[in-house]
Amino acid sequence: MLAFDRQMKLLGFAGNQAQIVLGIKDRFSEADLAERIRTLKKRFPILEAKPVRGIVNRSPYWKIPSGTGPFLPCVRTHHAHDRAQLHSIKVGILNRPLDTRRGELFRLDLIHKEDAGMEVIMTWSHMLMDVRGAEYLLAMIGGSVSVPEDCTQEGLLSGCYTERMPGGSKFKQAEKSFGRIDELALNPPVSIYTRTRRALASRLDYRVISFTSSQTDNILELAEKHGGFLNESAYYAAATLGEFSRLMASKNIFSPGFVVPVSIDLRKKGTRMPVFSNQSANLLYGFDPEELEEFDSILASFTRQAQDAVRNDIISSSVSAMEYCRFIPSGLYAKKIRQAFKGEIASLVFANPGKTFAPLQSFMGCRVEYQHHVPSVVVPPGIGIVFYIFSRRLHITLVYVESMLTAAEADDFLRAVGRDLASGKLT
Amino acid sequence: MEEHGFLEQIQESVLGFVRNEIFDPSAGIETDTHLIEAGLDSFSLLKILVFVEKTFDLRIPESEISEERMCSVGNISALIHELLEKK
Repeated sequence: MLAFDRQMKLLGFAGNQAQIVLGIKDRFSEADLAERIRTLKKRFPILEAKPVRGIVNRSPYWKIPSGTGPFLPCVRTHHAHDRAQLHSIKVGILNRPLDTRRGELFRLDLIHKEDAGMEVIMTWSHMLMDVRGAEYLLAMIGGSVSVPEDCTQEGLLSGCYTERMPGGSKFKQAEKSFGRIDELALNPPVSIYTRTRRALASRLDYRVISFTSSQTDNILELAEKHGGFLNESAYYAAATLGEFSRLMASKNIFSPGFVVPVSIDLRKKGTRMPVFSNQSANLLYGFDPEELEEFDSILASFTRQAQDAVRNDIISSSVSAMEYCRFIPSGLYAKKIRQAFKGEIASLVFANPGKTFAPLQSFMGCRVEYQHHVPSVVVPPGIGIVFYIFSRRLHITLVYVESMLTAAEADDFLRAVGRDLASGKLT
Repeated sequence: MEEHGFLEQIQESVLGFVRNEIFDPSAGIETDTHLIEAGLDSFSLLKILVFVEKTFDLRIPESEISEERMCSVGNISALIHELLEKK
């Protein structure tokens, strides 16, 4: 997390952070919200911790504040008079970095809309927590879940990293993951960002497409029919990668291979604890260009790679590899990956967190009309897509480096993905 | 009687795996708990299928992997029992 955060900041981007956007019809007071956050910060000082590295072994850990210092202001209010201004404000918020060195690990922005409703945007650093943790924190702030005794866990993925270098058996396990990177490096991906970066601004933009509940039911039915039970990620990936390959072709960019990191939730099911902890790992999927020509071949390849990853315990290997990488200076780690992939990290970032957290149907006593997820994708590749279901409706967010795609290209891409999902083939 | 004992052994084994490796103890998984509603996802399902392969030397055919068959430890165990019988 630190490595990608550093890499993005070096390229002029905000960092490795993400957002949840809540659409609300009513309004509430900024002061009430700030007070709730203040109470939570008092109770969980890790919410204002600073990430630092040990002097001797360079191992990162959280420096927890004493609890008596001043709280960082973390609620801001904005006013939007029309849709264009609303989008412009939101893009500005997405591209404003969190001051993690001062302990700003999350913030909330309220946008008052012309129709008397508002949007609540929580931006958080991936160093502190993943999307499941962030949803829970937002629900705690909004008062729709009770506040547990403890939300933090010391350990590997919590940010309170282990102090000692892992042992030899872990290295053996990690080798599988490094081997997977070497395998993918034989046909390294080429990203749109790298090919066009000189002309690019260092800002992210995004688009969201939403489906009705009946359209969503139809898509999920088709996903089960084509991809099998509980395998909608493969179905979503088939539509995304098929259209992405076409987008690359339309820009005359040839890539010998396509690499897609897919975020995996490592938490035991049935819990969101620990909240202040990043419990996700990335599994790398690789595709030959020919595989991306047919919907069914992408689906089959994705499913086979997921099965192989579980059979060969690649997920545990990735976790062991991450444990080792904590002891490498973060810039060097990002550089090493980019060297292996000849300057790239991936072709496109993909995530399917599934159903959003049910208690977030209300916030500060107001009904939530819609919810969107907006990740800050790692650059390169500078483009990422996330699928999620809120209130029985599927939503897709496409995030990309501004000017890497035109707004029309981004809309066309999302529409094409939507058509493919609704028909079960590349249309 | 023996048949019943074998099914119970399968259930015990699957329940132990699902409780210890897939779900958090707070989820309180029992034989009849609806696993999908409790939060089972695609990777967890794959883990269960690989566990079945390794423990019972049995690969569950794709045609049998459905919500009805996979929704509880009881149903998964009954499916394993049925497939082992046919073997």
